Amino acid sequence: VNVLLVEDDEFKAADIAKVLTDSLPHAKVQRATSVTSALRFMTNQNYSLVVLDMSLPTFELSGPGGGGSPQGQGGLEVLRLARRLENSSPFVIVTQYPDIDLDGRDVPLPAASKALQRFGVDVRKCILYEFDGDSWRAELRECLSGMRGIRTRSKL
Amino acid sequence: MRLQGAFTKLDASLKDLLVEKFSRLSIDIPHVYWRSRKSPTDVEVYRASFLFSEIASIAAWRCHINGLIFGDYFKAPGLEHEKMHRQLDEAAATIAAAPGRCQNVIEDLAAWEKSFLHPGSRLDDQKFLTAAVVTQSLRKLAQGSGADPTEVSYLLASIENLDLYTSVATLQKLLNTGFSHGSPLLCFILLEIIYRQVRTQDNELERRLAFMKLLNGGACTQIIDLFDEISLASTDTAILMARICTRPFLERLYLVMTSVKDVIETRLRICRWLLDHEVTVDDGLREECDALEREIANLDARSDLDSTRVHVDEESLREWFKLTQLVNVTRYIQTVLAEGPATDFGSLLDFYPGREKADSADEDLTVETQIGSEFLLVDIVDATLTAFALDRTFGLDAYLSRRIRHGTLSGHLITPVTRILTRLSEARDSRRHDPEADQLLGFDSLAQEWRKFLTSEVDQIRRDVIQIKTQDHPKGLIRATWRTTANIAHVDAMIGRIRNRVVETGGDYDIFSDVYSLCWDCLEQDLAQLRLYMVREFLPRAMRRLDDLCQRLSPRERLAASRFLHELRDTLEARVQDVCGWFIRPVFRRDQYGLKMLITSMLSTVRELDERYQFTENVAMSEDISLNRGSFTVFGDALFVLIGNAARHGKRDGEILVSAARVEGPDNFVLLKVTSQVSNPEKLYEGVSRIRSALMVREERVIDQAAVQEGFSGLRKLAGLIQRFRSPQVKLEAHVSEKELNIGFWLTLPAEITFGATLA
Repeated sequence: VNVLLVEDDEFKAADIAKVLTDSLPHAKVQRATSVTSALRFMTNQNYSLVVLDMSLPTFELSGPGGGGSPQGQGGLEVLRLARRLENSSPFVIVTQYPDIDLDGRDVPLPAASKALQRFGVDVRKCILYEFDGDSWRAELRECLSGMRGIRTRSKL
Repeated sequence: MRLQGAFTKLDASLKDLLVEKFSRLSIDIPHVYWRSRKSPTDVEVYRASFLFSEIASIAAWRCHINGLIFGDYFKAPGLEHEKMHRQLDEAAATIAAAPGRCQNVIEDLAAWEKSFLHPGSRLDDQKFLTAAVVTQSLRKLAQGSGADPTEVSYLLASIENLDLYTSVATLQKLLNTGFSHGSPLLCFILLEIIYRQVRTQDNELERRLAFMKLLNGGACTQIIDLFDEISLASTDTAILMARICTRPFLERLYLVMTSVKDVIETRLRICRWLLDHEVTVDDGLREECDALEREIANLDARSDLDSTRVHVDEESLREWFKLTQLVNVTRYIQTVLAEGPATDFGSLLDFYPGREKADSADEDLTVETQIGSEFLLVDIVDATLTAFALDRTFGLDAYLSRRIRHGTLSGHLITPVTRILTRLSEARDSRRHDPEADQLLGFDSLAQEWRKFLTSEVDQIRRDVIQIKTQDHPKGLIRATWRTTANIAHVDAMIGRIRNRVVETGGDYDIFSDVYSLCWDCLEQDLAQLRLYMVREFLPRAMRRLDDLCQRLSPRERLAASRFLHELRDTLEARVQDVCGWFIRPVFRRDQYGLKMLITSMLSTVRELDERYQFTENVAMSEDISLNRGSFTVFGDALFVLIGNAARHGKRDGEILVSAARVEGPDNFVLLKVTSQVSNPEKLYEGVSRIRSALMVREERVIDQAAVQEGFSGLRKLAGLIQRFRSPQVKLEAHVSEKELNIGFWLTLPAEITFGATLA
């Protein structure tokens, strides 16, 4: 199982990675921290799952000149381009923002996965990440266990 | 209505006289419309044609042109049976079959185009007719009759304003034909024209993808090779493409660009290429080259500093300005030239309050004369400020949403708090059998409660406060308006400045930079409000809540938790002050900046951070020390750290003395001294110890990490910045006087920071 985690915040990435490794102990988790690096990973292969943040820098923060323009909707750029790169990976969005701005309209997360289908990609769920809440962990675990082709620890 | 009533009551002979006088009006086309040219352009003739007396022939002429532009949507009776209609249709067909013949075909129509003008009249150009005829040619191409697609690309790229006349449906149809599929260049040009008409994110993406396809997986260094190759056959096409490759466009060529450095270097190469290839010299491009060179020079120093500072994408705003305000700007410039240099306008303040007070009953009699160039300029400012603030792609709101509201604010404020609480839990767990660990239990649960409160407060700030004030966000602190007394003074000054420059240059002056600068002027007060809100409302509220919660602890519990409690307070305070640093106006592209102005504004910014700061300030330096942009930015960051520390750790009502002087020698270095008083010897030794622990680090890594981890004290961040300079003259020294009870920081930096010269 190959999982791509696209997240620039170290703290949040560590939190999500913990859920991934707990639920998918044999998974190989790769990490991208910008829109550019995510797209470069996705040019090369399909993943069993891409866990995607919405707010991302354009480039790696550690690269020459820093991260470039911060993109609150950088995750959308990844989704838009995924189909064009013929990448058929399923996505789970894990964001700290309760809405996603689609064509100038704020779509609440529960309705967003359906709305994001317009990019021709398979968005399984949009989860609200909270620093001090656990519900997102349960949602992510539930989502992982419900995905075909991914065997979670409980099913092993 | 009142006017009509008054007229009917007049004496009959007077009424006859008035009717006679005002029934015939002779209108000359104002000379200013010809400006410096000898002849009008064809679009000016089209616009003014209704003024000519040959009504029938003009109507037929306009019908033929409208027929070309609107195609099947425009049906004038019998139009298609006229000889001229067939002739124009044949011209369009010829161009569709052989785009290279376009110029000759259009020239052949010149006699017809000016048939109702005075014999011997000349047209300055035929751009309008060309676009209209080619619009018809595109319909034919979309139906399947095709020439060489590359030739068509060159033709489309060479025609100005084609997007104003050709429908998206036609372009889309052409794009979907097999004819276009074989030519990535034609696809790109068509998608560019579509994007100019309908600026959606989807259309923008399609255009970018088409460009990446043109590069065929190549690196960014190959972009110039591509332009060179295309310019061999069509310079117009290559120039159009180079113009499209603005910085925001390049930045989003994800599969081509690998870093910000790539983007800046590529844009610099493109600007230089444009300067070599364009016929007219563009000062804007030269300025951009200079700015990019300066940015490359500062890249290493800037990469890890304040990427969060409030920002509006100037390049995209400029693009928007060109696309949407061109007609208004032309009208404004023509009006200024017609008015001439001497006008006594006064102030907009005289006008706007009066209008608000006007009695609505008298409206039809008190028509105000908003016909001067000033009001045209105000309309341009109004539209630009709205886009500047609200545009969802490049405006301030987009930036706030993306960078500040969208996770970053809560991440910046809550993450360090969470880390401290995690350590608190770990400390408690690791000493499970230690009685002191039990004392931490109560504090742990209260601290978690406080974090929840903090999270909800930050969420409320994000949702309601850091917003542009609109009906949806009535508590938003950003008004982004020019209609305040202070801002109208800025507008008045800008009106005078632009008018003079337009007159001096005979209408060639580009007004964008002044309008852009005014937008930031209008925002200054709003940014100050945001800073004040964070330090005077949010921070005290959060601290009060923490104090209230701590009241529930027993004295023993409070003692056990005191270390964590202090850390939480200090961390939150430092982070809030960091956030205030985000709400500072960014630096513009100018060549030189005054150091004294920078010091004064930084003192005022720091003073706002805490109402307990009652320091007096003393700035001792000459006015004439100026810095280039790179140095201005570095000094700005350094001053924020040094003055911030002086205010925070120094005597609350003490003096902060800032002095600066040039260092003698050929290298143009500046020595900056920031000295602050401390209350007593204990505070002095505490300060020395703090400075020592901040700067005496064994591992390089600690300084590197400081850039992203350290809060407001910022000394390590500053040390990291200084380390990047090669010159041994660059240094930071701390001077402590036990006798005078003060601590001073002496910082030596170059006044000019340029590419490769002073930065490692």
